[in-house]
Amino acid sequence: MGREAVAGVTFALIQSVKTLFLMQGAVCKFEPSCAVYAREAVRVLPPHVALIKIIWRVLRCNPFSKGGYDPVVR
Amino acid sequence: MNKNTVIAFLLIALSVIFFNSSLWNNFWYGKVLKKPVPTYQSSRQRTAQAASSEGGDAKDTTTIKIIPPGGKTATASPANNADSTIAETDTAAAVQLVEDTLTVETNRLIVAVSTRGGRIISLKMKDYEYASSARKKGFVDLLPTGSVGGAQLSINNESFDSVFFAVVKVDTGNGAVQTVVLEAKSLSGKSVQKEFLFADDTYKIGYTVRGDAVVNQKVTVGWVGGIEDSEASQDVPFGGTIDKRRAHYSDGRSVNHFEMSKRGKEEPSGSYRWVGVSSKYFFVALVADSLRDADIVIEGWNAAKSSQGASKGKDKNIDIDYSVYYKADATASEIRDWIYAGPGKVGELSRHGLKFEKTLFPVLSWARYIFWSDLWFPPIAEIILKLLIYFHKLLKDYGLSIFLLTLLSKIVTYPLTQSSNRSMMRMRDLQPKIAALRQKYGKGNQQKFSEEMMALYKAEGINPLNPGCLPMFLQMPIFIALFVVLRKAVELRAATTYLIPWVKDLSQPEALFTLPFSIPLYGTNVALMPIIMAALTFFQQKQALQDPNQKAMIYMMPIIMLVMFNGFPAGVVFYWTLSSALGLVQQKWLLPKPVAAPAVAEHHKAPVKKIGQHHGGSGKKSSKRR
Repeated sequence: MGREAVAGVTFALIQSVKTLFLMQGAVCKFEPSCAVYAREAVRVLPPHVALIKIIWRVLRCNPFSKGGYDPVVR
Repeated sequence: MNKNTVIAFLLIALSVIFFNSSLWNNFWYGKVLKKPVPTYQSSRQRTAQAASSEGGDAKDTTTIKIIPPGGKTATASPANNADSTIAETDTAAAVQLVEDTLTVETNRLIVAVSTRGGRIISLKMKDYEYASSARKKGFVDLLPTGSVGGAQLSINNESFDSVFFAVVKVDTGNGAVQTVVLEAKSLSGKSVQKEFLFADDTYKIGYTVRGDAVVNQKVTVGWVGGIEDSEASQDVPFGGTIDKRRAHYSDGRSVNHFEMSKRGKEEPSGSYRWVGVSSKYFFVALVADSLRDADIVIEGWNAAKSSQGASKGKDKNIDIDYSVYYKADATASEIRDWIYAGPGKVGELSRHGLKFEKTLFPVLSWARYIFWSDLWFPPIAEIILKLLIYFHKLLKDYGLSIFLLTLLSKIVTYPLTQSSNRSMMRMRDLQPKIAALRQKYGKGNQQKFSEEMMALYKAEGINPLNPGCLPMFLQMPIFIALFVVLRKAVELRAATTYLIPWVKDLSQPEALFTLPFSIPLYGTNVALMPIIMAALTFFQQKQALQDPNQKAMIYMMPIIMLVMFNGFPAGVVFYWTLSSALGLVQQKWLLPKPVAAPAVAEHHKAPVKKIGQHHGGSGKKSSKRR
């Protein structure tokens, strides 16, 4: 339950950033998108690993990366 | 997901309420020092004490009374006063035992100097008036009425703040420079003069201390009165916390900022050029004529009952004192300083070449430890502020310049948003294929599904078109800087615009009408623009988020925006509304025609409406999965 809530908060925060600062839809190069990825990571991984993975994912999600299918790996 | 999103938003809302509650405020801000009530001694009292400490009769001190301002001039000197110099001091001071106020007016300032201590007790800005909602009326006064004032002086820890000064020269004539010279004698009988110089078209006040008493002594100049908050605190969430008074000191090259919330005292020492305090819109500083060695004491006190009426003990603002101890200098018989007292206008601040403008957008939050925001944020904010001023110079209307700024920010981020729009369209075209793949491999063969997905992305070459999430986070600084600038720019204070004529002041929350009661988090004022913005957000969200799993977002975001923006200054809300509207326009009309790739053309009849851009599968499938 707690983990679900944190996952929800993470998702909501990234989604809010999208809404507030971009007001646009798809930006992500990956599938699933960064917000969904973050939510899944918080759900299934220990918090510190999840944090590092999310940061690493966002850093990878730049115009020079190839993108692609990149689900959370346990 | 729905439930979790609701829980998430509830948590965010609760934390907002908590961090604005008095429980938290008392915990976090409660530990600052309480300021002692300033006590004034008359010079006679001081003289008597000195006499008694030099072996005179201690009984003398009991007979001395403090002469109230405007009271009768006392002439009698203590009977047992043997020391002739002290007697002299006493008689010299006795002539001046009535507090007198000298008022000097330039085209920018109205300054009142008291003969008691030679302190500046009032600093009125002629270009700025209190907002109509404030309790005070008339010109903004940077020193609270009845405060100890500014431009304090002590020599060798002997304070002159309660000594009555004799008026040597008052030249408030038609000359370019108006002068006030006051003189007093120290306990050892040496004379000290305070000279104030005032001129038109500047917020600079010359402040020179000279005389025999200064030579080879440790001279302290101070500004004990701090700065008075010019704005009425708004009883809305997020309102009171951002505009804390801040202390700054500098050696002329780098500027150090302090927020006096928890720490009570700062004592930097070394090379010193200026030290000052800033409120939301104004700045007062004590500036040395040249780089000097000094010890500085900056102290924060719990704000005395603010005359602007801080609501319900929510005042997190701290009064800040500061003193500069100049180290003993055997040769100098003159200490030249000047005082800057004026608005935080970037042009006024930067024209002195002392980096005053760095006090406008200091970064003091935790963000500087993670994002190094103190390095890049102030320059961005300064550029935006200068653009705003430039646009205003051209168009003479701040609403229009905000519009131009918004447009500019949209143009700057156009390639990014446009490419994301384009890829959103192509993703839509591709969704049926992904759905088919999922159906084919489903849960059973995740690995095969991943491989197929990879192959599909490679074949279609879609995601490489996306800008990625990193640029989205990278452009946040521009938005935040725009937000902060529009919130803090003194130029928008009391500014009106033709574009939204019902707004009386772009720096104040808009109030179409005021409710007789306060809605928690929302406040008492009902504003029109946040409602428009919430509606725009709703449409935008509805268009962007078509995944039924994210339905909560469509309704939650507008409500949160409405509540959040209701208490924000009208200028900020105006910008954000324009930004939303332009974003919607871009999404609706500037969107390129769907790229009908031959491979996916046959799937066009598929129900694409259900497909969200954040999910690999269709809404139906993903909801089943959960």
